[in-house]
Amino acid sequence: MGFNWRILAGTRDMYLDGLLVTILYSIVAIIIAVLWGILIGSINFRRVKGLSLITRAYTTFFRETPLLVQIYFWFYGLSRIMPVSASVIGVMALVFNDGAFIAEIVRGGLQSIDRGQEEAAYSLGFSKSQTLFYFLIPQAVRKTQDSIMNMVSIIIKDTSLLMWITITELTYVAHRVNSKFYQPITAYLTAAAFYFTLFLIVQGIKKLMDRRAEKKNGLIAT
Amino acid sequence: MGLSLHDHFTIFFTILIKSGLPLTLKLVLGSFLGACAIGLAGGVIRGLKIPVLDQILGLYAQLCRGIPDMLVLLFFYAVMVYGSTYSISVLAISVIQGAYMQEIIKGGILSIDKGQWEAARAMSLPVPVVLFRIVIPQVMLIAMPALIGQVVLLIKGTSVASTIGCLELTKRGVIAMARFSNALVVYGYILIIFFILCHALTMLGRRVERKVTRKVMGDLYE
Repeated sequence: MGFNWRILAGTRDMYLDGLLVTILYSIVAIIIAVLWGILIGSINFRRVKGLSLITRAYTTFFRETPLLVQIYFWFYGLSRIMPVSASVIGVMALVFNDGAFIAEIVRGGLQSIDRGQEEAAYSLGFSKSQTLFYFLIPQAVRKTQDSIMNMVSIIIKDTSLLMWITITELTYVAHRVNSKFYQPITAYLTAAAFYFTLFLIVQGIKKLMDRRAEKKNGLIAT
Repeated sequence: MGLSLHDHFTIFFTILIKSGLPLTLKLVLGSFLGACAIGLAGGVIRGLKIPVLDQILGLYAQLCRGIPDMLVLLFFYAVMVYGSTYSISVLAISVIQGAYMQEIIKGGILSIDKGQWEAARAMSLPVPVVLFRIVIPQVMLIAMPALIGQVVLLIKGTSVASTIGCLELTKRGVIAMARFSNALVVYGYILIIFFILCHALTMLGRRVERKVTRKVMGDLYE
């Protein structure tokens, strides 16, 4: 065995297609999951009557059950009730699972903000929701941007589980190439290299964001 | 749809609890021990900053954070000619989770005050004694909450073993689906079982965290 470049040359297009699918699902899932996480996190933070009981139960439950089983649950369970495509289910499963993690991160960020800020905003005549949108959420997101970026790399990794619901993403391509040629090292190492590159890109973006945040904080401090 | 009480009983107790859960627990225990072994060895090496090995283990940790568990598992499954699906799963999960444990233990070792090392060395205690009798007991205390959180992730991670045919909880559910074809019930039960396992551990983690804080902070903690 070893690395077989000939097979890689022959399956290049398959890999690129798979990579594209992975990136596409990641981007869509990340955007919706972050928004969903901010929404649920804010509800948990505000303790909206009745609603926050449900959202709290939701974040606890979805954070402590395996994503793969959740995907199966939605895919095989929901498709009996109404016709939904696998891609919608895939994004939905990712958003519900990773969004719950992001919600807890955002809630933690919101709680760490000094109460005085909220009171100051009220005394300036801002309403409760305005305070949340203009003062608290931007700060909470900035405070927790590191953890949220970690969730971004986790979401990219999680898209690999979508291969079990007929989505032809990168891991699926690697699996197929391996079962076709039986060259596990070539097949899986290529996919791993792509995933790791994506991970490094996310890490790079995280560093850039950190530097920008530092600059901004520095300006405020001086 | 059309499931009698007897069917519910069969799914929950006979199939999931009696035949699926024991193997899931075995998977958890096996990969926990494996991950702890890797994590402790790697964490000590990284904590002591042994050159070359430190960098290699750092790369290993980065790789495990960037590459999906699914891909790693499929890779091991394809490369390993011998070994049952159980042992392959244990190996793959140990390798991935070991990287996280390693980073937690490394962080713990680095958080120990340098003065302790110097004091112990001044009393001419050999390095292994300092490490195992003075540093590691403290690290275990400090890192305990993080390690428990990691075990929750490990438990959830065992569900991917079903995809290579390991007959644990999730796979039992997949098989039961052919007979009962009611995904909401079958996978719902699996989610509940996983939730109970993980939630119990999370609760334990919270209690341990409170105890550890009290112990570390001493009288400062209120």
